[in-house]
Amino acid sequence: MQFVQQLINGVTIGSFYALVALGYTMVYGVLKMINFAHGDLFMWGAYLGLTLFTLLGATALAGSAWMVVPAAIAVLLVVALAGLLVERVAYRPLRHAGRLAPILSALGVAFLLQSLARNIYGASWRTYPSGIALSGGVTLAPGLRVSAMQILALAAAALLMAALSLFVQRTRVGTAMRAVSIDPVAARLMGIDVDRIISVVFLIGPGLGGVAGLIVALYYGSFDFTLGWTFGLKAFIAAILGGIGNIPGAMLGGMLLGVVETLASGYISPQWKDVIAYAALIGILIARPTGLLGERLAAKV
Amino acid sequence: MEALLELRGVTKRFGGLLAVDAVDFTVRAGEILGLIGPNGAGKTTLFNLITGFHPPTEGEIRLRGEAIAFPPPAGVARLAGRRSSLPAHRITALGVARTFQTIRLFKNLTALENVMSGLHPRTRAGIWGALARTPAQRREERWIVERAGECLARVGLGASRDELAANLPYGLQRRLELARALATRPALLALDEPAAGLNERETDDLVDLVRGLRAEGLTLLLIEHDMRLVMRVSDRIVVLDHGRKIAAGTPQEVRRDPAVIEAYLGAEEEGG
Amino acid sequence: MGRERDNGAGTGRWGGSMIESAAAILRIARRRPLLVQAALLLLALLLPLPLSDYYRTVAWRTGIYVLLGLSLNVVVGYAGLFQLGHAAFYAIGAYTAAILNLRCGVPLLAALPASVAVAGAAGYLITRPILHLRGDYLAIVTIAFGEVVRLALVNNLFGITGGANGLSGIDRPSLFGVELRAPIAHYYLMLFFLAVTIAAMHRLERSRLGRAWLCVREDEEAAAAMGIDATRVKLQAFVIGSAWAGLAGGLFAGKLTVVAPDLAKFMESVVLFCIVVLGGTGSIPGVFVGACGMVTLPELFRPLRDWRDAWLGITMVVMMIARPEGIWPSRRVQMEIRGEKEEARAPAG
Repeated sequence: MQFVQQLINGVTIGSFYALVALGYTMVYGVLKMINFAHGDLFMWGAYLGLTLFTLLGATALAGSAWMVVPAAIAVLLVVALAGLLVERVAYRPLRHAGRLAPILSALGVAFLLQSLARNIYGASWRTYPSGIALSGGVTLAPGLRVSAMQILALAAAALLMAALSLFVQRTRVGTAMRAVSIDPVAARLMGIDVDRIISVVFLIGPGLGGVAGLIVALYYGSFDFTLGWTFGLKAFIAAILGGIGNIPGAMLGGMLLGVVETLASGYISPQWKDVIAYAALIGILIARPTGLLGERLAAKV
Repeated sequence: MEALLELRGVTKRFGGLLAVDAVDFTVRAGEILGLIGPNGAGKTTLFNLITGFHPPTEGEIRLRGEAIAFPPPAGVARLAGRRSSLPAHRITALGVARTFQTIRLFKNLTALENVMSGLHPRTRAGIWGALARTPAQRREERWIVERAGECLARVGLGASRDELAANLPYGLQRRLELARALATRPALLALDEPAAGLNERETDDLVDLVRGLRAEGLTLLLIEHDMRLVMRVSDRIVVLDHGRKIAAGTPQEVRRDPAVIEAYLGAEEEGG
Repeated sequence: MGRERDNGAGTGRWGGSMIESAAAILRIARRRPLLVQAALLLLALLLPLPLSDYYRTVAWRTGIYVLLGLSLNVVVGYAGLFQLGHAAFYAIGAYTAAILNLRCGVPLLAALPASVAVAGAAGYLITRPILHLRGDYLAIVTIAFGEVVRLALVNNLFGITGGANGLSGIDRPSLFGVELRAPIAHYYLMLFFLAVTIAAMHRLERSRLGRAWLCVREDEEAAAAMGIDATRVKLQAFVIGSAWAGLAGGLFAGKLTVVAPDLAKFMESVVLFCIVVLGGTGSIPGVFVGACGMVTLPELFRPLRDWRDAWLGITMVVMMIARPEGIWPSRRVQMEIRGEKEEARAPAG
């Protein structure tokens, strides 16, 4: 039973990794760059949630779990716009500037976002107001319990991922996105506006990441400004596990990492769980530099 | 004549694509061997196999009787990632130098520094020599600069030694690549379309240079699209089509070979 | 996109004239290298005399970061490898000195060679399996390795690293029986090693190995065609860089008498990476400029401290857009980073 319980917890955490990993993978797909600022956009989702809950505290929704819905929508929009802005200001001018420059620029944005959060919200741990997080849960069997928060988090993650899959597979823009990630030059020749596709990617990726930030903060209860860095690195590992640039791969990689980490923490040692995650990353990159499912596109590296 | 390079049953598959299919031929010491064939015939792939850039899928390549590419290892050795050929830098050290179809100079290094890189396998100073600047290391550095200067002069680039490679005009870049390859003091020099992009006068200079190098005892393997050039300088020609060797012989023999005519005409029809 | 890129030094841009006068000084320096070296050494020797102990410590810190920057410059600048976990080797060097001193009573200066050797050996073991990775992937794996080292220190590996609080009570180094206490003594100790390092880097740059690094950085396959064993020379760059970072770590342990896992944190690695890249990749003076910008400025202007990361971030973005080759670039890197498009590889045929 304990094992199944660990699996459920692992899948929940894994779904968070997956949501954040999607942002890394989509950007890598179209731009072949690691958006090191993605983790910190995700962290800003958590902090914006804090501000919004404080604001909503003055409305009729005060103290009710329903506050999450308008807050999530607002976070989605704001972080998406922030992502778009980051791309315009810090990445677009460097589109043809070799590999070193975008890495440095992205790290620069990450530091700026982190420093802003620390200076605005302080360096200490912050918690969401009480009453927002759902309490209670369902006991499936003796010693096997799924909390209401887990159900909510999993449902939200599943919904968002399903929406993204539909978007990528069924819409014109989604098809164009896939075309750009396979061959940007050919896509441009076919009349696809590559800049616009990149903008769309920088709206969707950070938008999902922002909502994930809100959900993660809600799930764990408290967080600080380093959330983006630690969680972002893990999510990046998830993206690599699934084969970076590969959208279903990112979802799978996230789940896998969440489960492995939870099991490692339960059966080996919680202290070493991060080390195990990093070791998995290193091992996979050494043995299969294109990830488990393989990068769908020819590696630029 | 003595065989310098021997290929036996050399095959290369990329996934489902058979790029080179059981090719055999011999390069004799002191000759200029032309390698021709329609586009996509597998010429550059064959070059990459000879120079160790890709390990072959099957077959064997010998340089002066010594195997530089061999049947792939089986069992444990294969799992451990053992290659079926020596790595490229070893093959260069054994005496096979090459140029590239698209020029691949070290662009931010000067002409002299580019050529100095070619002397790497013939010198030995390491970390300690560099840090302690031992007499042996300083002697070696002087020797490197002298040899590199000679190689530059050999291709007529003596005046450009301190220019950045990227700033040289195209024709001179081609020659610099040649000088850099010569600096490794090869027994076999493999040139991948050396006349591509050159004008007529530059091509004539290249022909003189190639003949001069042969006269000095070098063996040359030449991929070339310019048929007139190949016919002019080659002692013998090997023709590839769809990865297979379809003909070999003197330029006169090859020119009259029906299979060769067919391959080239066929290719032209396909190409429209 | 479509931005006009000029070849000259930032003409018409802010800071352009400053850069030009720096270039003029550089030209004079090229003609009279010995004179300039002597003048710089004299300046470095005299620098701490009029300063208070606080500023002497700032000068020492800057020097340590120059040392670290120079060590990373071998990896990033010369060999062109994206090492984003370099601080781990700094920490390994510091911990080696600390553990030898605390556990075995080895005097600190005598432990320095061990710091160098252990950091170099760790560099070998860690980078040996990842040499085939390139670009972004190498960057991410080095980040992961850096974090593994830090977490191992936090988790009190083998019970000798002291956990999250680290180790304290390390002896100060002593020379000829005199304990080095005053910041100025540490300054001169650092300066000695810095001078040795600069001389060593200068020699490496102009050696067969140095040229091989440049070739591998520019085009690995063309380097292989020249008989250069890319794997071997990359490994040498990693080992030299790591070992030298270990030296800086040992010096750090002797001054602070405390070591903590935070030495290996990612932020530290990024600061080092920025010192190398912002100053001018592959250039020794560039490392000085970078260390002054990243370490000295925030120390001198206290208000900047809280906002240091923000200032760092903005600088990084602006620099990459306006002057990606760094403030004091080496001639070679300039063009490379100025974004030539990579030529399409010719298809096999």
